[in-house]
Amino acid sequence: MKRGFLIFFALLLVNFLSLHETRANTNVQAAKRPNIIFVMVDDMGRDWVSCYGAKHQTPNIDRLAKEGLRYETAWCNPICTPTRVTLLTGQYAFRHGWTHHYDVARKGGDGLKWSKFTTFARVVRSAGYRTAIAGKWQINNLRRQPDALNHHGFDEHCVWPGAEQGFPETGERYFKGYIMTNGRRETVPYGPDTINDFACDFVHRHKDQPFLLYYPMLLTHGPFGATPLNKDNPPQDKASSYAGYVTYMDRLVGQLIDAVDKAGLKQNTVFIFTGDNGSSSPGTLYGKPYKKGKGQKADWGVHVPFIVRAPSLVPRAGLATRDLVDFTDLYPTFVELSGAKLPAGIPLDGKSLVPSISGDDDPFKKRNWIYSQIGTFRMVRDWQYLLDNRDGFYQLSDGRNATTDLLQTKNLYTSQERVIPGRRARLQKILDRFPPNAAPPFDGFEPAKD
Amino acid sequence: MIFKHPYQLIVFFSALLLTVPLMAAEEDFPTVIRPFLKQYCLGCHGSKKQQGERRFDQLTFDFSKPQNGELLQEILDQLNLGEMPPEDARQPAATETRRVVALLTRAMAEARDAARRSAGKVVLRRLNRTEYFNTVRDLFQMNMSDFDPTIAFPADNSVDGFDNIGEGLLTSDFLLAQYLEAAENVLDKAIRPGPRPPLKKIVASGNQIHGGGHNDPRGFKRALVRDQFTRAYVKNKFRGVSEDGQYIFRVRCNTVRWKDHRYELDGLGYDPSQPPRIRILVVNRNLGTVATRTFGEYEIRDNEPVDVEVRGFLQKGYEFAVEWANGPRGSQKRIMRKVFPKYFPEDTVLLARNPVEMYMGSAPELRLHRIELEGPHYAQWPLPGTARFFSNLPKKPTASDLRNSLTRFAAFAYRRPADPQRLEPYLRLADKRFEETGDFWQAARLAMKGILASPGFIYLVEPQQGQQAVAKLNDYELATRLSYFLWSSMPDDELLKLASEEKLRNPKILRQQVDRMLDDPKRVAFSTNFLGQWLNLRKLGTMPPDPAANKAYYSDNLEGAMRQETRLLFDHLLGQNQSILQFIDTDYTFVNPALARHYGIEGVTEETFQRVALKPEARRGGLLGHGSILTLTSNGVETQPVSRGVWVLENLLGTPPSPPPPDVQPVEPDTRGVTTIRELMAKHRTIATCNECHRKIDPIGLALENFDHIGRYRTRYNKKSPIDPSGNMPDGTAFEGPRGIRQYLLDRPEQFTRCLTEKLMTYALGRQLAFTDRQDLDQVIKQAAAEGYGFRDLIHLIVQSNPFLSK
Repeated sequence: MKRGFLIFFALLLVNFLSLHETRANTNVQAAKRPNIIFVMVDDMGRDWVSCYGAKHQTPNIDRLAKEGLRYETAWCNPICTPTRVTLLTGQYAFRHGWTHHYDVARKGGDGLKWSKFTTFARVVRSAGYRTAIAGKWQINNLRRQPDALNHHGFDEHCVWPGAEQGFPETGERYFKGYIMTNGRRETVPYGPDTINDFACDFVHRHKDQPFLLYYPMLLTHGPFGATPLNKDNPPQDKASSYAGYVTYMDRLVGQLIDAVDKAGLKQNTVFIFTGDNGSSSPGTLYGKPYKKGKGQKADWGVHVPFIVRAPSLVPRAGLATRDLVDFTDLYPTFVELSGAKLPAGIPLDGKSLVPSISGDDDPFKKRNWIYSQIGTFRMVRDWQYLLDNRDGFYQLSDGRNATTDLLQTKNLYTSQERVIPGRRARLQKILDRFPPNAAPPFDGFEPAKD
Repeated sequence: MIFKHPYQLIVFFSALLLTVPLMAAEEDFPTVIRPFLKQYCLGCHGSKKQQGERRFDQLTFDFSKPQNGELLQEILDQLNLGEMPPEDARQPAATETRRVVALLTRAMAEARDAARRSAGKVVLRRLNRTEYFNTVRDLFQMNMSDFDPTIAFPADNSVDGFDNIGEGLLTSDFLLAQYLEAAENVLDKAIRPGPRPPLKKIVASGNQIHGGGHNDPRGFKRALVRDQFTRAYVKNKFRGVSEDGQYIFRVRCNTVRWKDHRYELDGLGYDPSQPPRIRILVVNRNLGTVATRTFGEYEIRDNEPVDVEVRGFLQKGYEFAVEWANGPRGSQKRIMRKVFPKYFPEDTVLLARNPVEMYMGSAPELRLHRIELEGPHYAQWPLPGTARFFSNLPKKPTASDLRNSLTRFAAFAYRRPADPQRLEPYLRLADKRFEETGDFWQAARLAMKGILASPGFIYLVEPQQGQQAVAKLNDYELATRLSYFLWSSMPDDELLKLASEEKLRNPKILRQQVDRMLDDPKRVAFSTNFLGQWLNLRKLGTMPPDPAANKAYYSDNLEGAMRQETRLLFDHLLGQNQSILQFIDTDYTFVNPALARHYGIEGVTEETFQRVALKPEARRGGLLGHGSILTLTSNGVETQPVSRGVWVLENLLGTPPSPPPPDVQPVEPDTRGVTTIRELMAKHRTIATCNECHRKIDPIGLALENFDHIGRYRTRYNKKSPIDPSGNMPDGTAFEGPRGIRQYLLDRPEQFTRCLTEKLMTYALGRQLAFTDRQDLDQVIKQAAAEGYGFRDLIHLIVQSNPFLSK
């Protein structure tokens, strides 16, 4: 019964997509096919980005927001690998099975099977895009599966392959970082610099050809220490080290923006900046202390910055939007932007963001709920309310201000007050569609413990 | 009573003049009534015993002592009820009782009559509320929108159907206090020394706009429905404009998706075939919904923002607001619970609170980009009300400037040069205050307040003391009477100038002036006040039809349209000097499309009132076909033939039936087996005492049964019972239906003319007519007939008649 429903649901989504595709194609083909740059910071939520009201200053990210569109409500998963797989496959965790964290390089196993999953990179490459990954993969063992990245759709790569068991030199990613560039493995002075230089170079080399750059950054993940900026006066504790990482990360983003602009690609590049889960060190949000989000089963675990600079699409720069986004929406977005054709039979859970980015008012073309999962913990939210599968119901925003109960202090699950039962009923109807668990994606994937 | 100010005392004494001496009809008292009382009553209610604290042995027929009247009324009531004398006491014979009851009844009626009537003499008459309002407006040349100084005055009594009749216009301690209060409010607004208030401009764009629906970061507010919660203002917590004056209000807005969206119109409840409109309101947020009126509705465009600019007068504390006039109906909540889920069933729950964000952006919406309030603007500063009396003041005005200005003011306020002797107390009051405080304006205001509460201002023509024969009005008095007749307000400068030159009494000039006044826009007071009271039009809307069963009546504002139809006929006859008999029958009427639909007249498309010819078979000509009359004589659910009959007798024939006699108990007739109202009323008439009057009333009412309770034509009540509109008048004239009554009335033009002339005279003179007026009245009617019954001619005849020119 449940399976039947799922198939129906999947077909429904495909229908939606094909509808959008015809429309979007005309949209996109009118202009030149845009380049796509997707930057995803590791372990940083909104509470470290100043354009979201954090105290910490991130001038380069802010510049992106000023020239683009800032999403106030974007959700990933609470932890690294579920987020990445969701992003790459366009499916929710209960479908792809990566319901919790699993470091393939360290722990072994087949990782993400290209026979089973078609990543957005593969689809976009099939439409004639040059594709590259810069940063971190972690969901295949690149020593045992050296062609994995190519199989997953990337022409070029420059990644830290992850800490591989029995190869202690691979454990370093920052100073004396172990980096693998297009198959060549070497130790470099500072990993993030090498990777960023690769990214800038990739942009420069492909300025005459549509390209996709997938850039899951190394920063601002641990281990904590200094950066080239503060190595003469290294920070002593985790919090200040984390802050230094954020500053350096912002600087690298700035360099990449400059590279795009200098190459004359600003107008025709869709530049997206986001994070893969909540911050691993608590920051501030709207002037108030916020919680450490990484791994947390709550809004602050998954609510990340999400900024789109796309001058050819965004009708007016510098605005913020309350449109809902989760990471399943990126796959169809990239496909639509590249004008690619979806291979048949791929179930996708999201909706393309192109209407939202282009300022289309029609809510029927946008998301009206977003979803996140870790293990069997599932939650769904709309513009104001969040419902999880553990009888938690919270009002995060009152529709005007985003700050009603950000830290989920007041559980309204049993409240009968005014609109609450009706709003909960709707989210419950949506949450009830999703199965609690999924088959493991490969042998040896440990089941969720929670 | 404590008088804080000398002028209060003046007002108080003038009020005492209103006590009218009562007349007594005494001849039967000693011969019939006193013996009756002595025999049957004084045993318990005499000098020895006073049971129930009643004592009759000192009773006389002198009604100047009010307790006599009250006691006699009590005796009459007890006899009528048969409660006294008590059962165990000696009982009078039935014939005896009947005689005493008849005598007492008549005597009481006579006494009331005598108390009411002043035998054709001018009675001291004060301004009624409407007249006070208009007089203040014209005296200070003020804009009175949203400002009514008479708001707390008690309602004026009607006498003979009009509220400007001296006999009914009593003065009370309470009213005197209100006059002072009103004067203070008026002066605050009208007398504004000092520099012109600076021009201010409040601009609100995007989310600075207060209200107007949802914020959009793109810089506008979006309203999804046309309810009051999406009304928009320039500012949050704004207490209205700080100065009276002309203000400019600008709105930049547009709609989107006015026609182009996915929803069925049924669910949204609006009409996209019309262009989108906004409504601009004048509101006072401190006072709330009572102080909200529509300023106007304006067409806007879809997709393309337009600037709407209006200019209007705002009283202090008021402001403009804007809302969607014709967007989707009802609340956002209704749409999200009941309408929207059908369109997105997989992600919504029916009857739950689905988020409005799912809907916003797919439906028609109003976008407000910017609103702006700018003012105050003044055509003239100082204000005309200040400049008129205080022009050419030196920088440091002196006591003599004060006296001059106040004298000038009093001449206008009193509508004649002020008698120096009577003005002196006010001037002295001002002098004293000026000496004490050195504040010129405070002193001036104080005296003006006194003058505005003094008899010279409050009262119209004053009777002369010890007046014997009928005296002619002087020119000023004539100007005043004329102007309160036709304008319900004070004479204007031209009338006062003619009065000062003593030219107004010249019949030729008087005629010119009447024509001028009837062509002036201020004549609207005449059609509103006279017409509203003659035909009881003011009653229209006090028994409104059931909103559920009569939707068109409300959605098309038929009540307003009906009233307008009647007013337009009145204005037309008056303006074109047409025959007053057209009130009874015409071959045309005035309708707008809504009213035309209601009447079943075809071919009216333009959204204004227009004259349409009525086909011979139409049943609408004349007042009896007007929806206004037919509705106001019904109770909102069904017709009331008795009301309609009485209305015709009273207002067209001038023969009002007597009210049911006080000693007749209402009797429920046996109504078994009747099906129609005609049969019901026929049963009623089997009772002789009822039949006496109802034989005159009922046939008329029943003949109008072809019109239902909101004036639609019908030929049957329901499938089974057709309407029989035929009847016989008491004089034997047979007639059928509305046309029959019209003919009956047209056959008696003199009777209708007399009725209208009497009403006009009563209204013009501000007093009840008396037998002494009879000859002049006959003369006017005869002359009117000879001149062809022209309405304007009739007004001229009345103005030139003896009673109008005399005290």
